[in-house]
Amino acid sequence: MSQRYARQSFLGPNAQETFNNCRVAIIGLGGGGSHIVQQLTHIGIGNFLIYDADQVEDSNLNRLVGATREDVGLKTPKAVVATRLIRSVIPNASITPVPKKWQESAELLRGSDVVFGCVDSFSERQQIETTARRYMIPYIDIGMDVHDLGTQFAVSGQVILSMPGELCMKCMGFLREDLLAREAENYDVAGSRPQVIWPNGVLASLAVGIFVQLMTPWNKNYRRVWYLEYDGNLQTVATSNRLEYLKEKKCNHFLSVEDLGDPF
Amino acid sequence: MMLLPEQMGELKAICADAREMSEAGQAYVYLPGLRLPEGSNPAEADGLLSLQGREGYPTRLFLSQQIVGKGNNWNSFRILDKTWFACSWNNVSSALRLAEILAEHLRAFR
Amino acid sequence: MRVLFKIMDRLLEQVRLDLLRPHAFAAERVGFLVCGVAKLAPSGTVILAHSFRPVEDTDYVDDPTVGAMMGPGAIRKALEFALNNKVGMFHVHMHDHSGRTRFSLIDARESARFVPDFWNVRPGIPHGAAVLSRNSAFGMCWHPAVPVPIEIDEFVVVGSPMFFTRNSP
Repeated sequence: MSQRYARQSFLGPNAQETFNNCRVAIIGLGGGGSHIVQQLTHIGIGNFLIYDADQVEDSNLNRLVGATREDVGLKTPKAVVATRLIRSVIPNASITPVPKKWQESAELLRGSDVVFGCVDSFSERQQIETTARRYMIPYIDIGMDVHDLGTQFAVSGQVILSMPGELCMKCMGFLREDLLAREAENYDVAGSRPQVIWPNGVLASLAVGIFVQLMTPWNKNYRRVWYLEYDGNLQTVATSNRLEYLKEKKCNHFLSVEDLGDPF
Repeated sequence: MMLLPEQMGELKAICADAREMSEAGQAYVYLPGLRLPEGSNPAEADGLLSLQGREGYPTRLFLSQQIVGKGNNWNSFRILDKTWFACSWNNVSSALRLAEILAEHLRAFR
Repeated sequence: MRVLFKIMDRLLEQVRLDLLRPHAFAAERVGFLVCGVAKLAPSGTVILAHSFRPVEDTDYVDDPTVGAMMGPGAIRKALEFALNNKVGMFHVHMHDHSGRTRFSLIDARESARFVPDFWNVRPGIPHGAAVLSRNSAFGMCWHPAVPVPIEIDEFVVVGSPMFFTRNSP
């Protein structure tokens, strides 16, 4: 018998079967998403649905896990890079690469067990979360930012689990109308924001850790809501104190049966 | 959000199968087969009229297809589990009657 | 055609607790799960349980030959709900044991009698029936695109942790 997963047997006797059968979607295969693909591959996920419309550029090589110089020259789609990475470890994984905007093939998401969102905009996050809620899919979101404070830079990031039936990102105050409005006014800014590999690695690892806790019984202290804040200057990660103030709150954004399934 | 029947009636005079829908507490009017202004390509598309503020737009018209050569800064959105397109045409007040809201948004394509 | 049934863990627990409540004369309780539905690519269906409508105490028929028998009032109310809401209706009851479960012959016979009636009020949408054990589930789906009822391939309990029951070999 293969010893490949012997070191993670503490996750439970059925963990590998669960991972092998699990259907995971990753939207965004850039700095954060490529890390997530790598880690999920190594833990043995058997079914991947991966979305990214972009091709590898030279400016991606500072952080895109799996990408090479050759990919820059070949303008390799990021979905192809991710596919190659998965196949290099699990040759018979079921992989559906979608080198398009996820909205153009969103119906493929419906059968996913978990969706990871590694996207650049609040609007995208809102759309992904709403779609995930529609199909009762836990949604794990990651993102990082570098802020110019004038006198120095601040690196920050978040990992959020939006579990159906629990607080959504709007409840948590992460998605706000003012942020969405400001983003819509500055629609072309997202692509030029600073991005570096190490915060992406931290955030991706936390996200995968949350995923593993969703899928396996190894940690009895289950949590249904996660909102982790990364401080890249202090190198700390902490649960957002917003959750403390939201303990008694229930999400009232996705209550109707009209919010489930295909509304047409 | 229940829409006034008489205003829905006015909309149905423009688009016979118009119906109310909602998602995550946001109200929309679905406008299947909406005829677009003369000279538009395509000549008709399904429409989705958002009646509550989102992304800084008090109301917004989403279409199932982009209109060739009309409207600026088209973007795609996933709403009601379908893909929609909208251009940047803002400041159409939600205080107008529904048919007026629609007419104001269609002005972007004249 | 693959049929996937998803339910939140908290709703499932609520359903199990309700179905285990004693009744004046019925040995079992029954109810209906109200569900959203959607197609799955390339060919399949996902059923998404939204809420539970227990059959009211007064809508049972005293029939000692079966665990529970719904009266005409129960069916009428469920049909009326389906008429007024674009939902799939899934009848549900419980076998109080652990491990895998299946329909009894009576379950299968009775389901086949009333489930297709939902197409009279809400056509074009799958409806069905399910039976729960303490830690598993089995169900059948009457799908408009399939001439015979089909087994639900997989139940997914969404929560922390997730729980999967795959009924296909």
